[in-house]
Amino acid sequence: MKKSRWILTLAIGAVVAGLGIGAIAYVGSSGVEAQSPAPPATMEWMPAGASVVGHVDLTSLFNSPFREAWEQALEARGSSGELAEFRETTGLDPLNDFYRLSFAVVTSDDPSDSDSNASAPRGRPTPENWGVSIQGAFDAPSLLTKLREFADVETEDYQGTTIYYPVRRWDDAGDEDAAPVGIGDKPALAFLGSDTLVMGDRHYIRQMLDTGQGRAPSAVAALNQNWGEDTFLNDTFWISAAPEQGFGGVLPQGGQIPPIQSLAISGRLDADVALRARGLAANLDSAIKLAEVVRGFVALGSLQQGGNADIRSVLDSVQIDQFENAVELSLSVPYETLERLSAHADNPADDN
Amino acid sequence: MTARIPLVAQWSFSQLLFSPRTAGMAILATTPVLMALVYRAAVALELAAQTSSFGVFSILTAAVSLPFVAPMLTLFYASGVVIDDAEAGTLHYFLTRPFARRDLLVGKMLGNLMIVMFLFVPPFVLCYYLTLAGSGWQELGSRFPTLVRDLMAASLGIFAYSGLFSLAGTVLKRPLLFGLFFVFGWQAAASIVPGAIRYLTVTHYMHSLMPHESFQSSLAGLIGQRSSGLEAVVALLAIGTATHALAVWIFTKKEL
Repeated sequence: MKKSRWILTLAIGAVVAGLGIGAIAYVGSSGVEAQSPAPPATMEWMPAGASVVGHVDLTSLFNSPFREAWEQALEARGSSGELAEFRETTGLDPLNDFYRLSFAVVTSDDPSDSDSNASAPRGRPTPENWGVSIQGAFDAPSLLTKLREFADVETEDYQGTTIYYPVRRWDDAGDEDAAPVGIGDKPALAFLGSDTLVMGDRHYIRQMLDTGQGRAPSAVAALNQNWGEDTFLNDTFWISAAPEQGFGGVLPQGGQIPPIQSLAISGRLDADVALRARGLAANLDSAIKLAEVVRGFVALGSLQQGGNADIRSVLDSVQIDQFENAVELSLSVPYETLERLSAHADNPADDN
Repeated sequence: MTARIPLVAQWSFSQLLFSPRTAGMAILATTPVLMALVYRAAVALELAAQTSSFGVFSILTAAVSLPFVAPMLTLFYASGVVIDDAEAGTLHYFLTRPFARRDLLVGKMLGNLMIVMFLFVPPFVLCYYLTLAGSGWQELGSRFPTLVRDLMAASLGIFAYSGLFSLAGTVLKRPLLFGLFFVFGWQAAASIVPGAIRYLTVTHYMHSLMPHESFQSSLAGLIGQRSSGLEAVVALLAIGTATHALAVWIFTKKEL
């Protein structure tokens, strides 16, 4: 009996030690929440208050098995010439010279806020401002020279940074064409050091500069506050939004589905493609209900896709977890499976 | 509780610890650990993604540890609480000792619970660290509440199973067969049958407490809602307490 008592004591001690380490890690992880992980450099320029914020680690993306597939697709569509022309025109190789990219969109519920959105129905979220920050190997003088071949470029000095406004362009014959360059209302761009380019609406780019230079709050703080320590900021790609604003009612919202306050979709490219979608519900009860609804959809999908082994394997890899008011759906998909699914989507008849 | 109960429990635990049955049960209990080791090897050989570590732990918990290992361990010990001694011819010897029948059975059931927890909990915690070790300190910490919740679900589930199988061991001549039917027949079917029948299973309440998902519980989720956490805890405690008490009452009244 003495021996068994020792063995039992040893086992209890091991379990207590194991749980103690976990508890210390749990307490410690709350402490390091504010310090790590460091957000991507391009996120520093994204202002707080954006409805949708996203990030893509282009280096990881272009070093993944996807690159080969894209290059083949470009070649198949005969677009490799366009890519070569872009490289020649700008001196930039999109597959090698862009490292990471962050973007933010501010939406408005009131179309009357913006004349360009007058046709949108009242109450439907419409993009109001946008901004992109790209880190890469830029040769700013050559890019500006190239830009001036196609557009008049006005400049403005804002807090020590030059903002460029391309306002007009010429057609091939050299005649003036009044159409503004780019998307939306007078986009602007600015070079920040030798490796960062920010683009966006005239007003928004000023906000971006204020944010990056520490004069205004960043979206990173809001993301950390929303999503806590288990952040996705360093995943290969992610997008985070408040659904009722950012997704314009695309997500199903109704009596059966508890409202989602924030939604984040992120992915990592490792041996497989690991995807996560996370929703924040208003409270614990809503989160439990939301998890049930998601589980129901996944189970229904599993039953309906019995014939397609790839879809079934994807659905089998789905994990749904609920922690407090957060519901997380994660899945892991091998690259080969994605390729087959992509081919199947292009040619659904092949399956029959 | 009389002073005899801990004595019987300790004696029962030491007898079970060095029995051949425990050697076999140890293999069953360490199955998730072996699977976690295979996963770690696959990560080291770059055959599996490090990012899916928590997913692997979830699968091992939702598909192996809680629905299979926990009930099997409990079944193999609790079902023999009376029948083992009856078959070995030692029961009458115990009944001549100077302590009450109630103390004997409660002590033995406590010893059974101790050995089941001894075999289940350490490998389960080890499995958590093995699967998540490579994901970093922060991941270990942020997932820790899940481990605690799993352990709570497992402990309550084992308590409820222990009561049921002890009761079967006290009443039936073939309690092992009943236990196998209950786990793999009744529970498997009842959890996917519409209506309130799933409330007559232990697995429904365990799934209600688990933060993970398995295919079977997803399917069950289509048919009916989970119980709330409080309901599940109360139900498991009630099942365990009632069945243990009933087993003791029957044992004290039974003609042996």
